[in-house]
Amino acid sequence: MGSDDMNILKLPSKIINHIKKTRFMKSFKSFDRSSYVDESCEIIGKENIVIGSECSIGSCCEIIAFNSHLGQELHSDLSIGNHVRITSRCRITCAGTLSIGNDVLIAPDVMITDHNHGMDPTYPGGYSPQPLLVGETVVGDGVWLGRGVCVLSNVTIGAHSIIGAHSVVTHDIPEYCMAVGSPAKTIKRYNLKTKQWEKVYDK
Amino acid sequence: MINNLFLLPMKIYTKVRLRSFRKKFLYIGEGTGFGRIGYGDCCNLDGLEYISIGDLSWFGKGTSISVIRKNKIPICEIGNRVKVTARLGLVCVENIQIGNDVLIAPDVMITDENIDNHHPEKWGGRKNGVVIGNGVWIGQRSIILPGVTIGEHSIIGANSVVTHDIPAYCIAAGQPAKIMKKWDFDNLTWVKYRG
Repeated sequence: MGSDDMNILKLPSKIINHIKKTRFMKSFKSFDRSSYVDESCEIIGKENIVIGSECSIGSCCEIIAFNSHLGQELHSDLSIGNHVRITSRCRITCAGTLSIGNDVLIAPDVMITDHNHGMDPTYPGGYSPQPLLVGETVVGDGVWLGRGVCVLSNVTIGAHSIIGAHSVVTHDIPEYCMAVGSPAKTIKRYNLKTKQWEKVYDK
Repeated sequence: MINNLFLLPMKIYTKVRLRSFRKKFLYIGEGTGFGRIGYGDCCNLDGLEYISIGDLSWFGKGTSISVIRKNKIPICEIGNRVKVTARLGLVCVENIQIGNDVLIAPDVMITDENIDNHHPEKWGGRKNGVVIGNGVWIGQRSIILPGVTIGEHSIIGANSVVTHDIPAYCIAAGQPAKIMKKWDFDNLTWVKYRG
């Protein structure tokens, strides 16, 4: 009986939350109701963002899909798959095509981007007014990014790979690999037959 | 209309507060702004009387600039058109100079505070001041340590730790930051640097 009373008292706030979430979902290109986004997140350019089912995005994340940058028109397309867990303080910026696969686990303080500023040092006014160099970044299914990882533009991380903490991923990483360092290099590879991680020796 | 009337005192109040805030600086140029002063993600500024900032600079949310006077008067000079995206951590006790047109990515830390700033002769006369040249671009989550000079138009890669001087027109990255590429003025391209 007592629990029923509590449920009745909670009903108005539940209805308000439902309406709030529906309004929040409508501003996205596509957003599954089973996903959760923390209130402290900053999401810009929702009309270009697709979020799959059962994702959770933690506190203080910044997810930005640019429409324009200093007059330069951009067509950004950011897609996040199903069962993606993004923890706190991540920064995902998109100006081209950025896709995050299913079942990806992302630790705190991770930065993922798919664009870069122009790199002409003789340009008047420094690097900030230069047009963006837009690329494509793909994070495969089942990838685990460690704490503080930076994923730069034009990078593909293969499915089920692991990136160590504070690595900088500048080149493609193949499937079933463990990569660490700045720039990230493959140190171990998963052997599907023996079901063990095996060391990789550079030649 | 009624809404506007209600907002008017608030607007006047914020304007007065902003003006008194700007007066506390040693110098602050026209058009320089800070992200979200006075709200949740506000900037945190200490020692305003030692800070001078040029025109048209922008400091994103979560910027924390603390200039602390210990024995000497600290110098913190920031140039024109400096763009800080977010969450810059700057600690100055001696001398930090940032040039014009500098671009700073999120989560960068710049400091000139060392073990013993005011007795450098004990540590082999090591200088502690940080100088960042014109048009430098500092990547995400880099750390600039005391006594570092970064030359004009150089690029510091993401997640780097800059422990030594970086010359002009270079790309440096890694922990500690090493020169990766140099600008070739003849062919106008970046060329790999060996040695």
